[in-house]
Amino acid sequence: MKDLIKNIKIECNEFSLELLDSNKISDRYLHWLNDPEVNRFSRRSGESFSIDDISQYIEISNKSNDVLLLGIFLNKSKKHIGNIQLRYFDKRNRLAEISTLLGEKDYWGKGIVVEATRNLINFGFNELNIHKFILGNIVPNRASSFKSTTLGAKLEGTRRSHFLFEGKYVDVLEYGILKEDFYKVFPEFSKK
Amino acid sequence: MASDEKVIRDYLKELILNLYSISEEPDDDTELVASGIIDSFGIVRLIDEIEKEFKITISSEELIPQNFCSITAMSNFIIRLKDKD
Repeated sequence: MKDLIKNIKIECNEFSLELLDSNKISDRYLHWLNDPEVNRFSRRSGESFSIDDISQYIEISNKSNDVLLLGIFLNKSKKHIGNIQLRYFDKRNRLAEISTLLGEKDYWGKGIVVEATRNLINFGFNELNIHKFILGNIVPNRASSFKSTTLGAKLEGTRRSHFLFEGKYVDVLEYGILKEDFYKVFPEFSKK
Repeated sequence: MASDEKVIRDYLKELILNLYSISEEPDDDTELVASGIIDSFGIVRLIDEIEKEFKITISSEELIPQNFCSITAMSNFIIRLKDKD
């Protein structure tokens, strides 16, 4: 996978997805990771991170043959506003999962996460020959549930009492996207 | 159109006008999700208001674009949930 993505740049409408390296990260990246609002529904919630943690994370991800860690960069200003990650966790069955972090809150509510995920899924199906994408979120994260179904994902299962959220255990929802699900919603992508 | 349904549609049009940056009330069949008027971030506030107003609970299984893609779709969805209770 790494040979294929050495100079990867996935163009979206007003931003692009590019390989994340330590030179490109914004100063605000550290701020995102330590912002309770940004991390409210994620495993990072309640934890503190340092610049070293970020550097290590980027280094490990970029060395891994299973992880594609991309930054979301605005086209005009080149500003780094978030990340999106594809983890090819099951090569035999060609399964991958996608997770996102839109750290810059000014860009929430503009459809950026859906567009970034849509483009990365299309890349995964076409260039990486992925069979199925998995997306997951805790039940209280309703925005993420809606994002997944907007992308054509189907709710495949519920892991009961699986995640400690604000002092209580909540269920985790698992969504799956196959090619036919995705290209039914986005037929224009099937030509790309 | 039954009067209940009209009340629901009028409420939804007003709500969407207030919640999102649009210049005029949507029509019954204006595409709300595909057009980007309602996105995954914006849906949260919308469903909170709908649940409060109509005293219904929207489950994760129901968080699908088909239920929110237009005023007509949302109205039908709300009526279906209210009839279930």
